[in-house]
Amino acid sequence: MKWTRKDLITIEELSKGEINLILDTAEPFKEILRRNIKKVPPLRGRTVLNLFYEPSTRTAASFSIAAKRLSAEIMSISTSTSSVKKGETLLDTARNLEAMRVDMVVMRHSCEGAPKFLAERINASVINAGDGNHEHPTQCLLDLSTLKENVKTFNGLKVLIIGDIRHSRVARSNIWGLTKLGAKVSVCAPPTLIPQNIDVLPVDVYYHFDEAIKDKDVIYLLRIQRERMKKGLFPSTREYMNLFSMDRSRLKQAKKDVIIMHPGPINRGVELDGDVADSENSVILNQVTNGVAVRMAVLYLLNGGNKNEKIIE
Amino acid sequence: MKKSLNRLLFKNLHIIDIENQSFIDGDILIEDGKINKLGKIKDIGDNTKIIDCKGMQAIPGLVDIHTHLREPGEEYKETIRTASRSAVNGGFVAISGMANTTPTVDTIGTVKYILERGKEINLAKIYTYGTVTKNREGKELSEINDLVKGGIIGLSDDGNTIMDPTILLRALSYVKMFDIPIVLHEEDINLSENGVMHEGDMQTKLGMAGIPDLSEDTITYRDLRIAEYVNGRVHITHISSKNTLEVIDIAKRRGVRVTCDVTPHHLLLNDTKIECFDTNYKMKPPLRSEEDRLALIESIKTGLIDIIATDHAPHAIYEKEVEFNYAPFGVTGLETTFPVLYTNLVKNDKITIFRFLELLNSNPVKYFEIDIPIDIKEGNDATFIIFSDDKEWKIDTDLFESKSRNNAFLGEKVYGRIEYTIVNGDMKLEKRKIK
Repeated sequence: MKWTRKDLITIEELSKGEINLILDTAEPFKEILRRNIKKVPPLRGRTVLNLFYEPSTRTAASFSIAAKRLSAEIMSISTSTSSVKKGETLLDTARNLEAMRVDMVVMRHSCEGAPKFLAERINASVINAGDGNHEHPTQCLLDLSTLKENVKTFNGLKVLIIGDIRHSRVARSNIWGLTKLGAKVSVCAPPTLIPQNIDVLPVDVYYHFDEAIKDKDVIYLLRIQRERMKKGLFPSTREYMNLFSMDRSRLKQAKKDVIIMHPGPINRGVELDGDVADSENSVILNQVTNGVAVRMAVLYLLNGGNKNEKIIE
Repeated sequence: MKKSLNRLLFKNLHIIDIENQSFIDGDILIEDGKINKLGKIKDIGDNTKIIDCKGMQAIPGLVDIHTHLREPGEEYKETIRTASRSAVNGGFVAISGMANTTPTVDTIGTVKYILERGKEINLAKIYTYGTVTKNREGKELSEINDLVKGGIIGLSDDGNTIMDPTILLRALSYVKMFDIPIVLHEEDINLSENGVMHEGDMQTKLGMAGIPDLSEDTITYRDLRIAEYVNGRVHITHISSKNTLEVIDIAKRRGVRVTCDVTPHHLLLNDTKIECFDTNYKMKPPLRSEEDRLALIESIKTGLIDIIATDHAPHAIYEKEVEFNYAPFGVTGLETTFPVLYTNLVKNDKITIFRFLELLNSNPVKYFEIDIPIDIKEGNDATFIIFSDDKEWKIDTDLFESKSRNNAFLGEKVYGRIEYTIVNGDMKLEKRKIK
């Protein structure tokens, strides 16, 4: 399998082979990250731009670290969408980036489709770091990479995603990624947070947490945004917690070795009890570590690298 | 020296005969703006310009009851001149401007400005709506008597649904003294919120904010009940969903005075087009599901839908070439409606050319009192169009006379090319060139 795409925009469009190629490429980078000297040369002389139209701490930092470990030059531009609306259009931004001969652009944007828009208009590779409620492919890839360390096979793996499915790019990417690798995905949320036509996605739907968690191998919690409350999607944080929060007592109902995941940042005590987040079942910090390795793999592949042997001396 | 040629003779045409639902082969002689003679014409007098139209067909001119002229106020998108050019290039002999200009068409001065500009430009006939409420705010009624005196063909706050039912109730009641329709854009803005596409399968995948069909059919039901209550006259424009059709069907059976229209894009496209985030598929109401689309096609056959209207909505390229969420709603239609519908509906035997012309000529003329002939007959005003059908061609922005390029059918291969557009005996479009 050889990587042929210029950009990474969605998981939906990737084949199982392409996903596995990224995951396999990430393995040696994990090893590199455990070394004392963590820098390798494949992207020397390359310029990567973090273009963040939406605030982000961990994703931007993770991409920066990944690029630096690969010896690329990285610079970050973060700008709030509102000021951009008044000023330069995305098309003009694209033309300027092209004029500056940037090699890769990591883009986060509140509008679905914005990274694709950019990718179609510049020669540089574009990596979607989250577009609105659409997709967040590298989050999915780091989740898959983390799961790979903890399960024997994806085939028949039962994964439950809990929370605001309707407004979640993490859920959409993970639903595609997990099912392509053979896992069986279920979602659980109040009906107001489930997309209208959920049956077009390959998932089972639950409204009741206790019923949903029984036989699951993995429980993936999504961050709940309090501002959804104001729109009448649920009455209060308190009621949401009563129904959907992952706490000690619910953990007892789950499989003993259930894996707990979360894309961060956690609202401790809201969707996830602090205890559970820090429990042995939780792989939340491994997700973060693997985020760097997986993003290194993505940058590496998009830069044209296909063999890992040379990186590891 | 002799005066210039004042008679026009179109030779070797396939001429429609609406009355007998048939075609005849023959020639059309035009003199003093009227059809002087029709059939095999042998005696050609002096002063006659002869145009050979071998293989071409003559039909009544198209009428659009829903065009956004953009003038006054947004001349960078379109002007009355470019809209007029666009119209005759697409076979439209009369178009009616929507009232959402800047300022809105809520005074007689603006009405007269638009109509007079139309006459000065003298290509297609220009009509206009006036607003139902001042500045389209849905609060106070416009001075409707003034607008009617100015020459409007109907009232509309298009794009701004009148959310307060008592305002609509009073408007529909008040307007009864003038017997003009109120044209309604049906969208409950509370239900469509910040939506940008149809809430359905594709929207679930893409994660974008959805506009449920519910936002259209629920308020249509409300408004049709209000119309029934006061026996007012309404026209529901650009309907997009199966559920709305059912609501209108019920109202028609109950005797409500309602007519409705659909756009070419809602008839031919569905929401799966948005997969590529192309803003040329962003409009209100949004492209809906395939099931909705098929129901719309069925309803132009059964007669439940009375009219096809373009909702020609020009926007500058830079406004449309942005993130999908930020792009304005709307697409152009005057120059693509004939070929896309002729190709996909008439040539594919979904509807006959006669039904096609009811939808785009005689029904608009009848329901909106537009002064355009609905047949090609001796003695009629010489207003009709001639098209060729021998070659497939590709829709390309280079062929547009509109100022804007935001069209949902770019690159489509079609049949049916407008060759001549004749209005009151004048060739406004001659051999695909505008006069």
